[in-house]
Amino acid sequence: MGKPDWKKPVRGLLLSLMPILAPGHLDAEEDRQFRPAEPAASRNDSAGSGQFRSPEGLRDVRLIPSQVGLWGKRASQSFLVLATDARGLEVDLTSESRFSLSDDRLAQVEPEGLLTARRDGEVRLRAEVAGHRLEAAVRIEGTEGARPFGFARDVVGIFTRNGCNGSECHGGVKGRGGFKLSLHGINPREDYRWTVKGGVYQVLSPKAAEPFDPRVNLEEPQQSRLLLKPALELPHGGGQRFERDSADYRRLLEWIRQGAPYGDGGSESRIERLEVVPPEAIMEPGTRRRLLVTAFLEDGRSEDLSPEVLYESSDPAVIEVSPEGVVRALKPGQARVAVRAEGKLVQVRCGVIQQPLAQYREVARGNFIDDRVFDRLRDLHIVPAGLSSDSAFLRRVCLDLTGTLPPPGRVREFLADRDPLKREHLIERLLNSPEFVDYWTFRFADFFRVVYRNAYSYKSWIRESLARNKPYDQMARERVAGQGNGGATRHFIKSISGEIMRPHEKMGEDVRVFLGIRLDCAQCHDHPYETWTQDQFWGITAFYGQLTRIRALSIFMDDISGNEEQPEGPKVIHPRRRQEVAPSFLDGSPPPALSNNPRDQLADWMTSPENPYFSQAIVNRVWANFFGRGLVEPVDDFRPGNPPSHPELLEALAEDFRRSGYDLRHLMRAITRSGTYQLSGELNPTNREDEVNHSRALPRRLDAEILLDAISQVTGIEEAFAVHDYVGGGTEPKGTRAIELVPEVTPSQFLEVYGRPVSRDSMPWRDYRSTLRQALHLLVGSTYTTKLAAEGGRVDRLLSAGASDREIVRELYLAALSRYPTAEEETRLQALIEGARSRRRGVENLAWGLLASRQFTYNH
Amino acid sequence: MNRQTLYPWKRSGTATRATCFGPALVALALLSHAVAQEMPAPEPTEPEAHWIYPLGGRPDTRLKAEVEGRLLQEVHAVWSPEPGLKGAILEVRPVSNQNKESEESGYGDKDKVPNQRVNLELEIGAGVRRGVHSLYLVSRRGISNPLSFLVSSDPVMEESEDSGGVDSKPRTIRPPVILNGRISRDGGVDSYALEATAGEDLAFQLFSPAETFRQTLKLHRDEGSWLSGDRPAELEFSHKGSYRPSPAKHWRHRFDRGGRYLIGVGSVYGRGESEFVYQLRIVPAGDGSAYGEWPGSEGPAKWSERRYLRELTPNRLRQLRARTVKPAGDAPRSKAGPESDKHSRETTGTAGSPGPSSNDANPAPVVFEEKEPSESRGQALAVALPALISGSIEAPGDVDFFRFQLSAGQTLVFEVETPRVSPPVFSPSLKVLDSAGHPLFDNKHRKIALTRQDPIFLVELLKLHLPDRGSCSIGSLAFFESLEAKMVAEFGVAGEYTLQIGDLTSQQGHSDHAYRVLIRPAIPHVGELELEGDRINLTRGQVRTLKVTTGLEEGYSGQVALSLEGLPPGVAPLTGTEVELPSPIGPTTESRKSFLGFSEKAVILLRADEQAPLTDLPVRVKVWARPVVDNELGARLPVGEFPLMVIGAREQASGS
Repeated sequence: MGKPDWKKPVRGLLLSLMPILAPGHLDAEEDRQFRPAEPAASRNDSAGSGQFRSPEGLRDVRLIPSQVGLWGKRASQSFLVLATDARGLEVDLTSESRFSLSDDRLAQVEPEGLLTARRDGEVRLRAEVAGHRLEAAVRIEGTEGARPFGFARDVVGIFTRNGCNGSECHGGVKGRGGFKLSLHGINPREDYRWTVKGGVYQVLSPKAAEPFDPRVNLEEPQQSRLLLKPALELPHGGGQRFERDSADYRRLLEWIRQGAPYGDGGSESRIERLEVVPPEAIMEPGTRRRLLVTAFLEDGRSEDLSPEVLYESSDPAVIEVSPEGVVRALKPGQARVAVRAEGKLVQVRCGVIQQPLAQYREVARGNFIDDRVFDRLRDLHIVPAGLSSDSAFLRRVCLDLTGTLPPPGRVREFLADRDPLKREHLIERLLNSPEFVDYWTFRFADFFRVVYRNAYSYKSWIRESLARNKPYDQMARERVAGQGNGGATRHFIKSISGEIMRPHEKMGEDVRVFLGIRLDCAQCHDHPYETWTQDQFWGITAFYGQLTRIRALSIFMDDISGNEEQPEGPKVIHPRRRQEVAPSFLDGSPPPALSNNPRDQLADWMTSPENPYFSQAIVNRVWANFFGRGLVEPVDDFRPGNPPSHPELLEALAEDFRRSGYDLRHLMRAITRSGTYQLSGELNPTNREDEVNHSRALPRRLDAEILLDAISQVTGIEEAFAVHDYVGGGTEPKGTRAIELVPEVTPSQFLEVYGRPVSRDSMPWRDYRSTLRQALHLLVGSTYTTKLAAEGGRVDRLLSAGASDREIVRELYLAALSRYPTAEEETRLQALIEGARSRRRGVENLAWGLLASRQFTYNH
Repeated sequence: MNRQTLYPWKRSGTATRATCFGPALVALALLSHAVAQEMPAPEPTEPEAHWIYPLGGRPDTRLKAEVEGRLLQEVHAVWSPEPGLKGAILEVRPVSNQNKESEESGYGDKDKVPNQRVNLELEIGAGVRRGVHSLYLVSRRGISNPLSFLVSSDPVMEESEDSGGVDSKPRTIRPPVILNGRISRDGGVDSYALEATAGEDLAFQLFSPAETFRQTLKLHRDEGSWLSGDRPAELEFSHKGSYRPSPAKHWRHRFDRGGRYLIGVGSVYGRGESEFVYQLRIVPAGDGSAYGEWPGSEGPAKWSERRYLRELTPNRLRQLRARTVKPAGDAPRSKAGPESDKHSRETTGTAGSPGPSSNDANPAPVVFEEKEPSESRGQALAVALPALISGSIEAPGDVDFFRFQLSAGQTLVFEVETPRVSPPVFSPSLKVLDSAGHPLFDNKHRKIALTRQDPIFLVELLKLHLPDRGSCSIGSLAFFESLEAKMVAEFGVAGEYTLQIGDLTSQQGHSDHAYRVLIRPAIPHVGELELEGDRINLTRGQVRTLKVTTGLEEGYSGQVALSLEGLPPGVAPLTGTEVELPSPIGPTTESRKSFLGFSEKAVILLRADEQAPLTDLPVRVKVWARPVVDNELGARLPVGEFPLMVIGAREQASGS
C-alpha cells in the first residue's frame, strides 16, 4: 500500500513556479544564426503589457521557459519575456520583444512569442528587448506523427474550455437539458458514455435512465447535437459556445467522423498538474499580462496548454481575462484567475494597485508572520497602519485571548508600565490565565459542537484538554478515534434526539472540523462546485461504518464482528452503486491494513504531518479569531476554488504549528506577538480599501456572549441565566458567564438578539448582522437599563463613593474602552453629567452611551 | 411471630417463551406506555417521606434532622430495622410544597395533600454498622417508605446553608471528612475550602438518594486571576457532572500544588430542590476506598448473578450448589474456605485436560493467575476446568488468552468480575474462539430492549423490521447492545477452545483494570430473588399483595417455595395469582439462555383479620425461598424483609 498522496486532493491549491533558468550570454557566432521576427508591440496588436517601458531600470529580464521540449506534429509553445521594472513591479515585455530562431527549418516563431514545430531537432529561440538578449533551448520530437487522440484530452478539453462542464451548465449535479457531464471533466469515462450513448443521469442509481439520445450522429456527423447546439444552429440554453467551422467545431466534427472513439491517447497523456506563469501578478490599471499555462503530463512530458484551458475571473470588475489568457487590470483591488483543464484547477492571484509608491516605508517586523504579511503588502504597494496604542492593544488582546475586558486597575497598571517587553509579558499572563481556558473552551465548544445532550463530559474534556495544553493533534485523535465512555466520544451524540450520529454525519463533521473541508454535498452526488466526488465521500465515511454504541454502558467502540442482523459485519453502502464501500482516504488510497479500529487509521491519516489540511485548518480557525476572517474564508471551506489569501503565510503558520508539537498556545503567542496583529486600525490612502491583506486592524463585532459578559463586567451586575423547564428549570449559579452556557438550555433574549447560535445539530453559524431588534434592545432592553440602574453596580458604587465627575468619566472609560478619555471627551462628558436632570441620570446616560458605542461593541 | 410455608410456586411456561414481535406491536407498546405515563398518579394513602437532611452521621452521636413528606401529620415514631438507630419526633409542621418537583413527580394536588416537615432527633448508637440504613416514620396511618441514612466513621460536617457560590464564605474542612449538604435553591452552590499539600491525592465521593439530582463538583484554586482578582481559578479537571442521575459518584484529584482550594457542589444547570440532599465524602485516595462502592456496606451482600462487582471466589460453586437441591453424590471438591481454596495450577487439576461433563460433581475451580506473555493464541495459558482466572488489562489493546479442552456437548458458564474498576471505564470483553481461532461466543448481548420511548427509537426499530432498509448505511443496532457479566455457552464439538479477555475498546488499560473470570459447568439453580415494595400497611379486614421475583438460572427446572417469617398475630398469607399480559417486546429464548436467565413472579396475599391487633410500631417480616427439585426441598435462601403494620380502617380512610 502506498503512502497517501496529498497532492491529489489539493488539486492546484498550491501554486508552484516553473523552474526558471537564468539566460545565458550569446557570442557573436551564435548571434548570426538567428532570424528576427518583428515585435508584436510594433504592430499595434499587442497582448502584452499595454505600455512601452524605457529600458532604464529594468532588471531580472528573463525568457520563460528557458528550456522546453515539443512533441508531435505542429506542436507549439508560447514564450514570455518578463522583467522587473524600476518600481519593483514585474512587467511583461513579450509584445515588445523581437524573437528569432537559430534554425527556421525546424520551427517558426510568431511575433507574440508563439513557436510552432516543423521538424525534429534542437533549436534555440532568441528574444531581444531593451538591449537584453535572452535565449531558450527547444527540443522538437515526433513531428512526423500526430499525438494519439484521446477523448479525455481532446474532447473533454473542448468542453472545459467552452464552459460546457461547469457547475452552472452540464457539469451540474443532474446536468442540463438532458445532457450530463462530469464537473470540469473529472470523469471522462462517464462523459464519453453520456456523449456517445446518451441517457439521463440518476442520483440514486449508476444506471442511466431513458431516453438514450446520443449527442453524436455517426450517420450524419454534421447533424450531431454536440455541434449544432453550441454553434447555436439549434436552440441552446447556454448560448453560442463556438462558431461553426471554428477550431473546436472542426476538431469535434473530425472526431465524430472517425466514429467517435474514446481513444487511448489520453491514458498516458493525462494531465498530472498545471502550472501558470506568473503565479501572481501585480498590475496597474489598464495594463495587461499574458498567462502561460503548462500542463505536466503523467508520461513525464509537459505541454503548453495556454490556448486550450478555461480562464475565469473571480471579480470581473477588477480584472478581466480573455479566452486566450490575457489578463487586463481594470481597477484597484484583488481578484483571482481560475485556470481549468481536465478537472485540474490553478488559481492566479492578481493584485491591481492604485499606483506604485516611489518610496515604500518599511515596517518593523516581529516574526515570520510579519515577513509574509508585510512582503505581500509591499508587493501590493499598500502601507500598513502604525503600531496600535497600548490601550488598544490591551483591550484587543484581552478580548481575543480571554474574551474578557481588562478591569480599570489593570488598564492603569499596563498603561503606566514602562517595560518595553510589557506586551510580551501580558500575552504570557493571558495565555496562562483561567479566563483563557474559559474562553477557548467556549470557542471550541462552538465548532466542536457541544450540545446539551453531551455538554458536561464533552465540554469537560475540551476544557481539560485546553487547560493542560494538550497537543491539538492528540485532541483530534481522541475525538476522531475515541472509544469508550470518555468525554471525547460524546460528540457522536446528536443534540435533539440523543441518538448516535450516522457514519456520514460523523465523517462530514470531522472532516469539516479537522480538515476545513465541506464534503457534505458529495453525499448524494459528486460535489456540485468542486471536484469532491461521491466515491471520496463514501470512501472516507466507511471508516466510521463500524462505530457502534453499547447503549447500556454508553460506550462507543468499533465492532467489526457483525451482529445478528448483519452477521458478515457492518457495512457502508454506496447509495448510488449499491455496493459496499471499503474505507479509503480522501486521496483515494486505502488504509495500510484492516484494523480493529479503522478510525485509528483515519486519525493517523488526518493528523499526519504530511497532511497539509490538518494544520492549515486549525491555524486558519485560530487566525480568524484574531483577525475577524480566516486566511481561507469561510474558515471551514478549504477547496481549490477558494484559495487562501496568503498561501505562504498559511503554510508557514501550519509548519510552525507542526514544529511546535501542535501547541495551540504557541500558535496564539506567535500571532499576538506579531506586528501584524498589533497594527492599529488607522487608515491611509493605500490601505483604505484593503480588508484582506491585514494592512490594519479591522473592527470586529463582539460575539453575543462576549458582549453580554462585557456589559455585566462594566456595569458590575452579573447576569442571572434561567434554564429551560425541559431540563428541569432552575437558574445557573451566580457568577456564571454567558460563555459558559449551553445555548439550547439557557434561553436569553439578549443572546438570541445578538446572534448566538442555538441549534447545534449542525455546525453553528453566528450572525453578526446589525438588526432592528438589537437597536430596540439597546434603547429599552433590560440588559442595559436594569444593569445600569442596579443597586451595587458600578454606577451606583461610584456615586455612593462620592467620586467626582472626572473620576467617574475616567473610570467608565477605563472599564468599557480600556483607555482614558481624551481631554475633549472628558470636558464634554462632564458637561453632560452636569446638564442632566440628576447626577445619577447623567452618569447612567454616560455609561449607556459608552455601552452603546461601536468602540465598546467592537474589538478593534 | 408465626411462621408459615407457602405452596411451592409452579413455574409458568408461558412467561419464558420467546415472544415474536412486529413493528405494530412495538408501536402499540410504546403508545400504551406513553398513555400510561400521562395518567395522574393516585392519591397517596400512606405516609410518604421524600427526603431527610442531613443524610447521615457518625456512630455514638445525636443529631437533629428534618424530614419532608406527605401524610406525615400524625407521625409519632422513628423506626429502623437497625436497633442502634433510634429517633424521636420533635415537631411536625405543614410546609408549602410549591416546588416543581412535587408537581412533576405526581405526588398529587398540592392543595389537597400538603407537605409536612418533621423535625427529629436521631441517636446513632456506638455499635451501629457503618453503611446505609433505612429510616422510617411511623404514624397511625402506617409506616412510611424508607429513607436512606448513612452512618460513617469519618468526621461529619454540615454545610453552611444558602451559600450562593464558590466565592461566598466557604467553610474550611480537613479531610477525611463527610459533608452533609443540600442544593435547595436554584443556582445554589455549596462551597468548602481545604488546604491541600503538593502531591496530595484525594478521593471525592458524592452521594444523593434524589433520583433527579444531577450533581456537579467543581474544584477551584483559591487565588484570583490577573483579570479578575476575586474569581477563583477553576482547575482544569474539576468540572465534573453527569447527564444521568446516579446515586454515588467518585472523583479523584491529585494536587500538583499545595495551597488553598475551593470545592463547589452544585446541580447541573443550577437546578435546586429541597430534596437535593447529598453527602460529600473527601478521603485520601490510594487506600483502596476510592474503588469500593460508596456509601459503604449495605449489610449482608445480596446474591447477585450478573453484577460486575459480585465476588467470584473458589467458593462460588459451593454457593451455587446451595441454591438448588443437592443431587445425590454431589460432594464439594474441597471443603476449605475461600482462601484455602486458592490452589495453584500445579497442585490441583491438570492443565489442558478436558473439563468436567455436566454430570460431574462440580469440583472447586482451579485458580490461575494471568502470566505474561499471553497476548496471542499461541501464548495462551492452558487451564483446567472449572477455572478461576485472575488478571488485568494493564495497557490499551492488551488482550489475554487462555485455552481449555472440552468434550462434546458441554455447557459452560463464563462469569466475570471487575473487582476494582467496572464498566463503563473498564469493560471486560470475553470471546471464546474455536481451535481455528474463529470467534464462537462473546459477552456482548444484542438484545431488543425497550430502553427509550422516543420516536427515534421507534423509527429505528421499524426500520429494522422492514424488508428493505433503504440506502441507509447504518451498520449496527448499537443501542440494543449490552455487555454481560455472565454468559452461558453450549459447545457441540469436542476440542480445544480459547478464551480471549480484553477491554471492549482498544483504548482502555490500567493496572486497576483487573478481572476475575470463572469458567465452570452450568449449575441449574435459583437466581436472584427480589421483593417488590418496601413496606406493607395492612388495614384490618383487608388484603395487600406482596410480589416476589425469582430468577431461574442455567436451566433450573424445579420449583421455588416461599415462606414468611415474623407475621404479627391476625395476619395470614394466602396464595395469589397474577394475570400475565402478553408482552409485545422482550428478549428471545436464546437471549435468555445465554445472558439473562429466566424469571417468574409469585404473588402472596397478606390478610389481616377484623380482630387483628393494631401495631404501634412495625414488625419485621422476613421472606425466604427454598428450591424444590424432584419433590425435595433445598436450603433456605433469603429473599428480603419488610416492615409491616396493622392499622385500623379509620386511619386509612382519613388519609384520603
